[in-house]
Amino acid sequence: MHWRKMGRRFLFTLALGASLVALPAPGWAASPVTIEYWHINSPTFGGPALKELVSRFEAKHPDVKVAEKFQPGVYTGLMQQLQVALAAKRPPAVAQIGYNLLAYAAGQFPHVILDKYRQSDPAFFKGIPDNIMALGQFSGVQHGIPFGVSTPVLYYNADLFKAAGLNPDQPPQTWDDVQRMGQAIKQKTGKFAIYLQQPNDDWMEQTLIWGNGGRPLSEDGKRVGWDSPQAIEAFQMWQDMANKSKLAANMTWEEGIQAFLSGHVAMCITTIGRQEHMRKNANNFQVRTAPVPRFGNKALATATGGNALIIFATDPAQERAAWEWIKYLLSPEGATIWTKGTGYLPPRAEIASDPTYLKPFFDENPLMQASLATFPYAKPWVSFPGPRGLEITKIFIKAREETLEGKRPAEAILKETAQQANALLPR
Amino acid sequence: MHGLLCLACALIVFPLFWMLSTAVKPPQEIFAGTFRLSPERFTLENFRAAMTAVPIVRLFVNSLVVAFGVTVAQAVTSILAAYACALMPIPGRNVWFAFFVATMMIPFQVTMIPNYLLVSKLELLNTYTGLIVPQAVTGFGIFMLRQAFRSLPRSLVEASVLDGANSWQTLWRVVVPANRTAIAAVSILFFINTWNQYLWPLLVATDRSMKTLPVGMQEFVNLEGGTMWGPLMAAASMAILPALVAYLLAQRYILESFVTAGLKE
Amino acid sequence: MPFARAQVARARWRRSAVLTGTLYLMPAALLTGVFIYWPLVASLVLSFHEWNLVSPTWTPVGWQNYIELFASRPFWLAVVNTGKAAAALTLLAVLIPMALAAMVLRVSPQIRNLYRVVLFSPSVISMAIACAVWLWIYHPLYGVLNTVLRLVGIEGPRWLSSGDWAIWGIINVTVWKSLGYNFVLFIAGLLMIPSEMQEAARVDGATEWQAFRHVTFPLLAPTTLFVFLTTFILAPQNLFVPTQILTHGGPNEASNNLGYLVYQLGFEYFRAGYASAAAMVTFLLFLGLTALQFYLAERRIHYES
Repeated sequence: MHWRKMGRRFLFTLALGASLVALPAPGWAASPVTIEYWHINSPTFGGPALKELVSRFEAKHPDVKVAEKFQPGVYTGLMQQLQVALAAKRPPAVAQIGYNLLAYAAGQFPHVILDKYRQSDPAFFKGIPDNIMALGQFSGVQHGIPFGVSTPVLYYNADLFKAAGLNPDQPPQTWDDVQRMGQAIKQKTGKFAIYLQQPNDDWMEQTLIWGNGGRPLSEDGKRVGWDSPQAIEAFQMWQDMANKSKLAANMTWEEGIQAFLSGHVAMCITTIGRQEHMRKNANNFQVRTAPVPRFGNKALATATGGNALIIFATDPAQERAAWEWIKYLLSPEGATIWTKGTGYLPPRAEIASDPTYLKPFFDENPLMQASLATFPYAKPWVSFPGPRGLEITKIFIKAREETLEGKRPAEAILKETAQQANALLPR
Repeated sequence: MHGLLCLACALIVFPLFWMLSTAVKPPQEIFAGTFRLSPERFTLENFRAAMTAVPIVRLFVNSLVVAFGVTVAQAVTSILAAYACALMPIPGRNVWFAFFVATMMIPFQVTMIPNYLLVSKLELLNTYTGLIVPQAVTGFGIFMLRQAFRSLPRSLVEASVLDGANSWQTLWRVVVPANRTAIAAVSILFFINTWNQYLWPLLVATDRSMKTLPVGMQEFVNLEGGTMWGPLMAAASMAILPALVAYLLAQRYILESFVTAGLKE
Repeated sequence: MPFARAQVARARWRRSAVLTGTLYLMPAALLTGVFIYWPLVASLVLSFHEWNLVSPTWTPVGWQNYIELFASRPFWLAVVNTGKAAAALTLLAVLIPMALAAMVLRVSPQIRNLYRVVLFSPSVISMAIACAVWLWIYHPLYGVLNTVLRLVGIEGPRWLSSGDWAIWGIINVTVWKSLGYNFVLFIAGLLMIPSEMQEAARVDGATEWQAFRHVTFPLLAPTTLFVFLTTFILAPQNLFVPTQILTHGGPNEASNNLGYLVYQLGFEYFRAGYASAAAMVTFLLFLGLTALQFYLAERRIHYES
């Protein structure tokens, strides 16, 4: 009896599985098209917003169903699942691809080139600024539509600033300020001054290089840029703060966040996407944000985080539905829901100041202001080209880890690893 | 001795206490800057959040079905193969044994992708069958049970044979009952391993409705937007209960069979 | 029983046994063939190719993947770390549970059950969650581990982000996670030793330790060997999850190991051929070492019995 039930379960799930992969044939306009949408939006990071987006979209497009699927492990995790799904020839119709992985996906994965929609949807393309649209392009070809846009910001603990005799209304503007104020914090409170994010990616490192006037990758794409004098100077500064002056905490990513939220570190540089988490979890102190510190009088420049949407659908009906979904996500209504849910900046800057859309949100969330102020200075988060691009990123991450270990000067480490990386770039 | 044992217990069980204590703390206390085991303000909010954010009952049922299915399948295939390798006069049985045992050394990353592609071709993604069948055999189980079966007094098998029982009857009437301890022991391990397994269900169960607990719980971990420590630990606390209960029930049984086995000898 | 009838029964058993025995092997053999050996063969072939999982073709590269592997620093670091971990695991995850089991069996039966449940409990938690908990315990500034060390005047290391300590941070979690199951195996092993033998030793005036050392320990040898072997064999797989969650093999490869390396090459760099080569080497290495241990062990047990 029990077994029979189980057997029926198996059959049922078999049928369910089969029905999911059965795609409607093109031309069956009456039956709804189901598109899979892969994302990283967990319950605290845009999950509820996404559910709202899906239901509103489906209400407007009764002929399309969106099957949203959360993928763990953020953009890297999603990429791994995507690679395997592509190997099995059943990719999602649309997926969020992190900017750091975009060159790899655009170069290696079969996907839809989006330039053809420029004729049919000129209004859509006009609504998004060129410099943002460029984040989804390689050599002028539109591979993806930039969707999530985030900048790094400096979070700081206003209470620790006060305890150190500093004015929390005047956060550091340059790295020299960071060091000066950091000394005060260290002496008066015994806490670490700053934690620069150290996850398994190179966003912080690229931000430092851009900020000091360097480039993560040469313009012709033949050489990595982390052995330039600007990069070496920035990395040496970070190494000194971690090892000599002991102002910077050197620990793994989750540990660093824990240290900041528990009041053991006064400042923390990470994505604006964290603002809600920071606000809600800070242990009895006031969190504020400021733009990332500048190098002397050089202009502000940061790497841009987030994701672009790429269409992997092979069936024409699915592709059409996927494009409609993307257009909705980037519409003023869609972008408003998305920004409120994630803290990512809207790809359309103008809705940020529009009272019908995001103005109230930005007014209520002062933490977002630092990111808005950074937006005009956003540089791309370079993803290294060629089939070995992901390995190059890892070499760069390892170079940072070795730099922070402090056993060799930054210059030696960066020059050696840049050579290894250059050999992997396409000739 | 009690002192030493208590200390060992405290050390070993501490991470579990920490998990439980985090599960009943409000977010600000989770990030309290000092170490503190008991919450200042006890809350069940994390459990509520865990239950509403993910379909936890569904995840639970899936985990249970998969763990149970895999355990039964692995136990049956292991018993049969171990019996043949240990007690039946078949040609090349040591080669067969080596054939099975060698699988223990194969990194699972090797089998993951080909098996995924196969399961996908058979349209078994997001099904219990796809989750269970590819892991229905384990070299570890065959290895353990073969060792156990071999130490069975030959006279027992002999007697059964002389009674005219065939090999099938001998297996279920003599060999399995005499080795119920070993079988229970490996079955617990199968169950716990499957219950906690991550990579295979991550690939095969992509629909939220087919995910297992360890995969579903990943929704609380987000390195971009921030990890929800409270609900994560609350979900984890709920997830260990079945495995712990399974062990509690089985360990009493194991203990009894050890004691009776000891008395007989 | 008449002699002839026994003869007939034995002969019948032997005749049918070849067929039925092979039949009993079949479920396991077929499943192993399809789901383990077929992928292994595919992986072996793949290890002589370059493939990114997506491209329709495998590009043959000869021995290039193996040459690259043997010349790469991460590979040798992973070998050394896996060796360290296997040694530490087989030592700690065998001796600690053995001592605990011996002690638990000395206390009164009522409390004994409590200990048994408590000491087994780490086994029931998923490794991924266990790692999330250990992350807090290891926190360099206010984790409980370094807080306690500070009480006794030691400034604890950065367990996960320091090149000298990260691999030990990983090993420690793995040992902790393996304790419970090995403990149960030792309890089982100890219960099978007739208690009269130990009592006899004590009557002869031996101390508790001498009785354990000269009576219990030798009799426990099969269990010990078994626990030792399984802990060793499963070492590379058990290291995988903590490495992935706690350190990603870092800092700068300091906590990388063979199980994680294979994953990294295949799923972070998407170089399926190269990853297959690393997997083959790992497989052969552990197969060789395990076969050696089996050989030595079989000989030893032979001597003893």
